[in-house]
Formats: sequence, structure tokens, C-alpha cells
Amino acid sequence: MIKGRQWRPFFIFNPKPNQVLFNSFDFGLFLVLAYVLYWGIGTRQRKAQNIFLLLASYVFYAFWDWRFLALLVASSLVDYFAGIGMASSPSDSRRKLILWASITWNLGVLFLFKYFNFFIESFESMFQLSASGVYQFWNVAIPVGLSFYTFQTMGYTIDVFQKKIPPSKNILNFLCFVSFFPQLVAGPIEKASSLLPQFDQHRSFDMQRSKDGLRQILWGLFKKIIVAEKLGLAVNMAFENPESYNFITLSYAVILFCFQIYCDFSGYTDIAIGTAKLFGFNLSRNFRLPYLAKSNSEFWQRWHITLTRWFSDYVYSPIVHAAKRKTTAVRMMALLLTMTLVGLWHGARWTFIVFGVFNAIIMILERIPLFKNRGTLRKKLSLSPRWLSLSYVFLLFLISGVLFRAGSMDEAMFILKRIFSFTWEGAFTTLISWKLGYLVFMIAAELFFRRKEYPLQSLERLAPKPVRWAIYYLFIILLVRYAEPKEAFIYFQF
Amino acid sequence: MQRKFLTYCLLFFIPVVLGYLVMEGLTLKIPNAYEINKKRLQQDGNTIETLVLGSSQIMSGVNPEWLESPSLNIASGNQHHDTDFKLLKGLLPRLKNLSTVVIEVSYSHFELPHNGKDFWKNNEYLNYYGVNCFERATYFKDRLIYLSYPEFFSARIQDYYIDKKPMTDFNEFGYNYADVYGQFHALNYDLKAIDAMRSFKINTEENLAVFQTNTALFVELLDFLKAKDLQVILCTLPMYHTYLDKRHPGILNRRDGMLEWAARQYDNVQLLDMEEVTEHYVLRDFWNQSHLSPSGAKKFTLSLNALILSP
Repeated sequence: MIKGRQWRPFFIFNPKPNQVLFNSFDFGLFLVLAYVLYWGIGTRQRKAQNIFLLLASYVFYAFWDWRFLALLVASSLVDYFAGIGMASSPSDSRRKLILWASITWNLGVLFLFKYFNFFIESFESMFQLSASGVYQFWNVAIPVGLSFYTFQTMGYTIDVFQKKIPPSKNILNFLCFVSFFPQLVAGPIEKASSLLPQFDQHRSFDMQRSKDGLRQILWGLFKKIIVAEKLGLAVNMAFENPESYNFITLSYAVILFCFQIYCDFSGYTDIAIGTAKLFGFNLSRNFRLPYLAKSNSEFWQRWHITLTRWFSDYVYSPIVHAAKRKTTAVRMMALLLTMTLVGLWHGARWTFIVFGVFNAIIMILERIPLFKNRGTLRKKLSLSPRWLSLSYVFLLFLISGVLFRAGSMDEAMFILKRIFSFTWEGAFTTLISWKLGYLVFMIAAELFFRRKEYPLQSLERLAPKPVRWAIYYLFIILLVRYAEPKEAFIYFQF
Repeated sequence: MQRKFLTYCLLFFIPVVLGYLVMEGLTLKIPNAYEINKKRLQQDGNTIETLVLGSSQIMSGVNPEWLESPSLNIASGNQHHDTDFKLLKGLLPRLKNLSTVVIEVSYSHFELPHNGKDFWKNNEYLNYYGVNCFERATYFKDRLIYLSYPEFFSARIQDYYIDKKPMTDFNEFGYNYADVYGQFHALNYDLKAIDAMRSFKINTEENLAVFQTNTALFVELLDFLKAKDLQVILCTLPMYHTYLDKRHPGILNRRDGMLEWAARQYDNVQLLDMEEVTEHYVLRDFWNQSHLSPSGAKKFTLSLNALILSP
């Protein structure tokens, strides 16, 4: 342990900020090149297509930091061979051993890069081991997408262990599955049963699918650049100086933050899904209008669906399944643990842990039979008028949003105290003025076309070509007019 | 099918590219200090003796018109020491006669992260000065100005061509006489209203980690200047009293300590600490709490001139 000095391994440095973000010109150029070359290979050459996709994905990842590419390859190989090893092992104990070796590797990497400093610092402050508080072991950035691809590969290994899927015998396909560039850095976290077989299927050029993909990318860019980034400016203003604003402005800023993070992440997901469509792949839906949820439990079924599904399949269900008696108490404890881990997944901060615990407590309260005839709050809310359930969910948003956005627990408590003590002192401002109109438009469009994957999907059926093109041009003009220097997506940090 | 789709795409994107080229052209035609500095570098690069580096405070505070030695002020809004350093290294081979480098060390310089959101200016540095501040290989996109910050340049295009706002009035040295930062002018120099303004940009958040990083780079910069045998003037500029009152004592002490240390440590370093020396400055010498107007710039530049000429 080196006190007061930063120990930095020779092979790792903080990455430079030249990132190929989905909302950057660099990505546009990369995408055009990759698309033309990919379909140029010829649709009969599936293996060549996969080799190309793998190279493109590694190039894409290497733009962030080529040194972390080794980690990505290592994680892929560990799980590939774990799958093969489990399939060829005659005994259950050996299969279990391989599974735990793979999980140890994956969680070890995650712990080392993402949580090591946090646990050391928490341990130090808990036991007051360091008067100066400057023990620091790692000064490294978290490899981008680590939480996403680690979970994806872990899911594969567990599925193979549980014999839900056969192990992949094609190393090329498996490497593609882990590193597929549209979803590599921020999901959706795909199940192997859904994505892996797609690398084995014949992919031919489909003009409708390409158009669909481009439209979805356009909608995602709109949500990110026009809505999320504009909301972000307003939110930053309030969160950087919370003492300057009264409780109404702060509450409003927190609600705006909830929409900011929704537009940011679902915008990213739309771009990812749209990009995958361009290459002939289908990715899972990650959002289903979460702001229409009638309870917290329903919110989590509509928000970051692939993450919730992962934790439900690989944490919650196994715990409940392993218990001898599947009582309500067991289920609630499993839920508490699962949601705490969901919080921790978002980052190594106490605010995220409290965020997870808070959501777990609310979900437990919603599921305990508190009313007559074993009625639960969740059931009551589902039958209540829309305005009541929406108010309830937005109130929870308010608390969750503060915990999610605040840099520390002190900051979160300060803002929450200001909001819930109804502090009038401080300025009232609309923060974002007329640009709020873009958010209103986005919500209206998503609600109106809620049966579709994204609003622009219906355009081909509803409008003739000149009108469609006019709409696309309008979107492009708006995107160009309001584009700021490229901003990272919030979920890239996880 | 593929060919048909590609044709559609090309047809669709031709107007987009043409539209972009129009915006880029309009952006480049707006007068700016970078363009003037570029011309000066090309024409008088060999004769320039003094180079001024820093952020918007020294950009509006030093007018080379009032310096007797041939000077170039390449300070720019939010331009931090890391960019200053890269520009210095990039331009040095072209400034054969350079003898003095003036570096601004504002009150919060050491506790603001480098470059921050203003990395988009790297396109300007590359395009006008030919200096790569990206820390990576560049390609054609990095020379496009409008693309570096479309929202900002769209607003400038609107201000300049449509609203015809008087936003540029450059002299031959690239000093802008137009009231760019002028909140005081907007308040009609009403002393009461100005003194009552509580909300203005000032960093009061201590950041020791950033201080550590920034001072390490600052020392590296001073070592470089020493090795190149260049005279250095570290300066702070006069600030309006409401700004002075709002400074965080911790940030201020650390900055002052660093300045004193530099002056002691390096025999080629001189200090021009004018932040609180405001008795000769009147209200109209300020654009706002932290920026001098042309009249204030004249006063400050003359002080700087006296120091440069002193033996």
C-alpha cells in the first residue's frame, strides 16, 4: 500500500478523450464506411461478414483506448472456453468449478476496475484507517462498456451451465457476440439465446430494414441531441448551485433530469438498435414508455428492460429458487439484494447504493398485502385513475432522480431537504424556457405512436415521399443547429 | 437493391452536404481574432517579440496596440494553460524573435479543469494556427469550424448576418473593441444596479486534485520557457470589486502562493499582479466583473509595456 502516492501500472493510463460517440461525426463516417464495406462483401459470405464485423467492432472499441481491447478479448476468451469446458465436463462438480472460475474472472475484472477504490475508501473511512484519506491504488478510467459486456458474457456462461443453451463452438461468432459494436459500450445487454444465433444466420440486404434502421437512428439522435442535451444544461444549472434555487425549481430540475436520462439512454438505445438493423441484426427493446408506469415495480419493467431482465434471471430467480421455502419474506429479501446490486451496477457511489435500496423498499411495500383481501399497493395503483398513479411515480422519480444525479450523499440530502422542507428561499426559474417544447413534442410523439418501436416507424405508411423527406431534413437541420461539442452519453460511464 | 438504396442515400444527402458547405462558408466569413492572428503570424511572425497567452480576461485586457514591442495576443475564452502550452510549442518555431511570453494566471486558473467543454476550439487552433491541440492524429473534419460547435456558430451566423449585431470591431492586432462581455453597458453603467448584481461567473469551488494537476503542468510550462531562455511575465488582471469580494480565500491563497513560488524559483519570471490594484480604474474600464473594456485594457497594457521595457 502506497500512501499519498498514486500507483499506476505501467500498462494503464487514463484514456484520451477521443471517443467515437454515437452522436459524433466520427461515428457517422465510421458507420458509412462499415456499412458499405459490409454489404459489399456479398451476402453469401457469412463468415467474411462476421470477420468484418469483428474487426469493425475492435476498431470501434480501440478508438476509445486500444489497451482495453485486450481486456475485452480476454473476457470473451474466458467465457468461450468456459462454455466449451462445461459442455465437455462429465461431472457436475467440474462444471460448477468452471462456472465459478468464469464468474470470478468477470466479477474480479469488474471489481478491480470499477469498485476497488470505492471499497477501499469506504473501508478506510469506516475504520478511520487513514488520517489523510489519500490511499489510492488505481488511477485508471473504467474501461468503457465494461459493465455491459461483462454481464452479457456472464449471462452466456450461466445459461450454458444451466443447459438453457448449447455452448458456442464457433469462436468467431462468440467474439462477435461479445463485441458487436452497436451494443458494445452501453447495451442493450443481450441474451446469448437471442443474439448469438443471429451470427449464424444468412443475412441479406433488405432496403426496408436499412431505411427502418436509419429512421430509428434519426429519432435516437433527436432524443439525445435536441432533448437530452438541452435538458442537461438546465439540470446542471440547478444541481451545480442548489442553494440558489427554491424547492419548486429544484423539483422541476429533478423531473427534467429524469427525462434527460431517459432521452439520453433511450436515444442511445435507438441508435444502437437502428445501427444493428443496418447490419441485419435485431436487438432487444430496452424501454417501453417508462414515464407511463403506474407503480415503481412497473417502472422497472419498462426502464432498462435488458438490465432488469438480467438481474431477474441471474440474481433474483436463483436466490428464490435456492430457498427451501419460497415465502414472501424470502422473495422480499431477494428483491432487496437484487435492487441493491442494480444500484451498485450503476456505479461505485453510495448514492447509487441508496438509490437501489430505496427502489427495493418501495417495490417491497408495493408487493406486501397491506389492504383488505390481500390487496397490494401495486394492484390498487393499477386500478387507480391515471393522474394518481402518475403523481405517485413522479414523486418517486423526485427522490430517485436526486440520488442518481447527486455527486455525494451530502449533496443529495441537501437537495432533498430543500425540496421536502418546501424552501421558498432562492430563485424560481423555468430553467429551459421554450426549449421545453422539444420534450413535449418527444413525449407526444411517443405516446401517439406508442404501439410502434419508435415514432418515425409509421412515417412510411402515413406520408408520401416528399413529406417524409421534408420531415427528415427538418430533423437534420434541428440536429445540426443545436448540436453541441460532442457530449458523452450518461450510461457510457457505467 | 443495394445500388438503388445507395443512390437514394446519395440523393438525400447531397442537399445536406451543400447546406453544410454554406454554413461553413458563412462561419469563416465572420471576422474573428484567429484569422487576424493567422495573417500576422504569416506576415510578421519573424518580428514578434512578445506572445500573450491566457483566457478571455487577458484577451480583452491586453491590446497589443499599446505595446511597444511587436506582440501577438492569442488568448481566447476559457483557454487554459495546457492549450497555452501546446500553442506555444506549436508556434515557437515560427516566432524566431520571441523574447517574452506573457501568461495569465487568473484567480481560479489552477482549480478549473483543463480544456473542459472548450475542446471544440482545437479546430480553430488547427485551422488558423496550424497547431494540433487534439493530442491525436487529425483528419479533414478537424479543420471544419462550423462542425466543431454547430449551436454556437449557428447563433453567431444569426447574430452577424441576420440580426446584424455589432459583435466585431477588430483592430489590426486582433483586439476586439466591440462590447462582447458588456453586462455593465447593458445596465447603462448604473453603479447601484451593477453592485447589486449577485449572479456572475466565478469559481468558488475548491478542487485540490485539479490544483495538483494544473500546477504540475504549470511548472512544466515554466521549465520549458526557462530551457528556451524566454522571459516570462505572469500576470493577473484588475477585477471589479464585487468579483474580488466573492473570491474563495483558499483558492486565492493557493494561487498567490504558487505565483510567489514561481517568481522565487525562476530568475526569468516576473510578476504583474494587478488583480486588486484597481485604484486607477473607473467603472467604464470594465466590461463586466472580470473583464476589462478597451479603456481598461489600454491602462493595463501600458503597465505591461512598462514592465516589458524595464531592464
